[in-house]
Amino acid sequence: MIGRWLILLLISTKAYTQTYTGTRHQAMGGTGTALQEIYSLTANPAGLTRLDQVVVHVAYRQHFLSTEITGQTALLGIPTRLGNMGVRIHRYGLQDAYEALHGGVVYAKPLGPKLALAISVNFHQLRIPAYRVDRSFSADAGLQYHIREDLVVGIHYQNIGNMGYERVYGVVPSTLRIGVGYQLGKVILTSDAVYDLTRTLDGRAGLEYALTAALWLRGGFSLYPLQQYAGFGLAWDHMVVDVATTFHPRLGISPQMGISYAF
Amino acid sequence: MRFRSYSCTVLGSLLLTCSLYGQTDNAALIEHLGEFYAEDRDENFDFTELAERLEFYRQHPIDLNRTDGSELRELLFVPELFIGNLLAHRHASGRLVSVYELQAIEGMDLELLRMLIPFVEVNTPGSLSEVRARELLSEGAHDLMVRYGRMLQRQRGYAIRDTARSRYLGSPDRMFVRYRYHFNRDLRVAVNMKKDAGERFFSGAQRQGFDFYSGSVYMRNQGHVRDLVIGDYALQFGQGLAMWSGLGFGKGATLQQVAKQGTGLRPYTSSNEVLFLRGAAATIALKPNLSVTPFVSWRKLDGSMEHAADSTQLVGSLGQTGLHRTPSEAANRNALQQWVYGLNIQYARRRFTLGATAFRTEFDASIKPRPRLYTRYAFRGRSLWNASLYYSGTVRNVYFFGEAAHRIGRGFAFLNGAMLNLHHRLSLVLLHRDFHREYHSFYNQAFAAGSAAVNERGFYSGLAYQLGRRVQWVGYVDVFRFPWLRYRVNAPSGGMDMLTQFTYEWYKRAKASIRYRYRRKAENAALDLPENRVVDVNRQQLRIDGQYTLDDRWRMRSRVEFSHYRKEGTPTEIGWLWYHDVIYKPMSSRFSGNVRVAMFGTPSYQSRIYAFENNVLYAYSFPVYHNRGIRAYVNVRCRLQRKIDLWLRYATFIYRGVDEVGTGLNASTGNQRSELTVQLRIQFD
Repeated sequence: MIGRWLILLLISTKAYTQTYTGTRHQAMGGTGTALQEIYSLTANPAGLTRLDQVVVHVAYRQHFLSTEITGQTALLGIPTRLGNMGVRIHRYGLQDAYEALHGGVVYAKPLGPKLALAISVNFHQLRIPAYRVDRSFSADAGLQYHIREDLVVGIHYQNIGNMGYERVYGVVPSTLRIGVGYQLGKVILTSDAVYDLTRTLDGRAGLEYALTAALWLRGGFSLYPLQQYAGFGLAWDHMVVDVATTFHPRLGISPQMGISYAF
Repeated sequence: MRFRSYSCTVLGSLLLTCSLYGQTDNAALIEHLGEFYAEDRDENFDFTELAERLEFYRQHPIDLNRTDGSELRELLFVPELFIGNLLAHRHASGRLVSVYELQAIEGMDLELLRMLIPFVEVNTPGSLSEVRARELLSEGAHDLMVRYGRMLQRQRGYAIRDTARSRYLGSPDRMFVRYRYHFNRDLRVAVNMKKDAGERFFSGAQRQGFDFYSGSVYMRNQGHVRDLVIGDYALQFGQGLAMWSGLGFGKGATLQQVAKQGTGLRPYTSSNEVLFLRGAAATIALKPNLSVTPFVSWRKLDGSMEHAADSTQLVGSLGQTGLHRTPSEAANRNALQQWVYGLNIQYARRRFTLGATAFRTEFDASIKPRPRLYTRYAFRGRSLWNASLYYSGTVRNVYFFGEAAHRIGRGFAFLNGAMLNLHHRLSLVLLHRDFHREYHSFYNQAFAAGSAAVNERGFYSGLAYQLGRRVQWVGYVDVFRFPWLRYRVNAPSGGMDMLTQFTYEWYKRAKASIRYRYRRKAENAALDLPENRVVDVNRQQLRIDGQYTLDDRWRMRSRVEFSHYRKEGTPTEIGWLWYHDVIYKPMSSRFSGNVRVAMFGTPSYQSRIYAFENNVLYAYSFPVYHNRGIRAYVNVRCRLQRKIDLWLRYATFIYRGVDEVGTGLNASTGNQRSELTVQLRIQFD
């Protein structure tokens, strides 16, 4: 048990490990602040405004293959006349040792053809069995601006007010992300700058190439921590399967698989 | 169609950051291709071979209707995707009528065309068999060049007379004689003779005159014999994991260099005294698509000889410099013999190449590196077998390449990569490598972050993006691990190399670029600690470079560069360099030349900055600027007669606040270090 704890503490010193990144975004270097899709629920909720179908998504992630740390995620996006709504639930942890649960409800609304705004209200729970449980709430805000149809800028402020747990050691990440997305034919290029309140700045870049109408290849990297990423997406009828992997030079690989279904 | 027609445009223009206004400049190409090699491996590397190759194809353009692509690969700036397209076009449409037909081929753009035109033509006379032997002397071209150089300050090594101490045995004069005979492009004779500063001449270890002699006779396109070299030659196969002798750029400075373009068998004409083969080799076409290259080589190498208890000879390390100035260097000269023999088989069909190489390397003495932990897996013994399999091919907009090499009985090395044209303005380059620590080849010059392709795992990804006609962006990230210890790194370690560069070009007029490069590698801590520690060494480089063409005679060039060095336990350093070049190159005048004035300041050698320097013809280099001071040089070329040229060069470093320059035998008193070079070339029929 102590060994498990140590591993967890070592690899969760960066808050990002506990921040869920959608499968597609993970494959693109952890970028996504300027993208629009169901995964926007995990990066910048303002991207949800372009959703025109009800989409359900579930994902499973293994944090470093040699550990037992896992993450499970469920996302739901619903377009409505008043704006788009979304729900996300994400669990992260080690069974019977450490479990973080994050939930959120999102409301995203376009203001004209170029601007989109969104807010998210979140619930966080950190449970350490045989020790204690703590809960917290937070709020996020996001914005996207379409400079041109092929060029988007996004800003996402996660955990406004830097809320946190009071009774246990644990972090509710608070970050400011600014991202750019650019579509170039069959290619989407993304780049994000992520600043967190521990005063670290991370630069990330990602790329997606549509090999065919139903197969996408993705790759990316982040500078801090230095990691490389790769993945692909496959569409079949109403379903999209995304696979992504993070390559950490020392800790190894962290694969994730997600399945989305559009109604 | 538009997508296809531009399919290699971006890769093709990756080299254009060296910007060639109206006409291709060999010096600019060499600077761009060789830049990282000087920084990472050897600042004294001689780029003669590449300079000469470019000059040769300028004077003897490649026949687009006859080439199998190998000569185009030799130019190093023609994308493999384009070569594939050209061969496919010729196969489908027949012979080219004019070089301007190139514009119709997928992947050609204005810039690549402008660069390529001086090196290519269509329709040239037939093979050597149509020529009678007596015509060889009357129709061939002879080229004789003599270079002399000398440092003007006396170095300490020349002043020592005590025979018990290490000293320079010879004179400080440098001499280089180069003779070439070309008959068309199918027969070439090359002879090089070189004496480095400090080496003796017609005495001592160099009783036979020059310290280094090299020569070759090269024939090609003679029936089934595609290439034949007797004398010194270089072999370049696959991705350089097993057999890549002669000019190799290791990691390379451009995205396009990530995929090595093996040229097969070529004569070795460089004055670098290592990494070549001496004997005979031929490439024989068994079928139009199938060729074999048997090769055999015997030569003497430098090595520090020792004697084991049973009186067998041992070599601690092989010499890599080719310098034989001191008694110990002279004693190590030609200390051991090396035999290399083997065979390459290559199958090439349109856009696909598959090859295999096997060869044996033998010595007449046993190699036994120092017993250190980091040399635990280094090569030991008298002989080894190497084998490798390699491939390359183009499928739609993707060029694949790779090689798997094996040191028989020991480790493997794998390298695989792809170049993808994702959009007509966007190219992606990916490369993965895994080199086992026990892998070894004496002719290993593959893409690697270390000094050789061994003990390394890494992934490289690079992007090139053409933002409209004027702006180009290039960037890459290379992340790597060294699973075993290395020289001065007493633990498994890792690192990264990242570059981003924007270039803005005013058509034919000017160019400006800004580059940032970050490198991180591990090194033993300099701190005096009870335990051994390995710490990160971070190097950052910021460069702003500008060029401006005043008219068809005058060109200006300026650069500001900063280097930042940080290693735990040592002071952080910031170095800087500024230089301004004026280049005068009229189309028709007896005189041409260039001048540089530079100022630089670096706290120590760690924050050193490398910068390409123009020199007399073929003698380009990337000297290191460090310490504080001023650098200046002037190069003048004078055309004495139509085929007689004279070059003069004077270069000097003036340092501030020192009364001695250099260290050890190399040191000289005073704060200045100057060099004079004179070169004469005579061409005759």
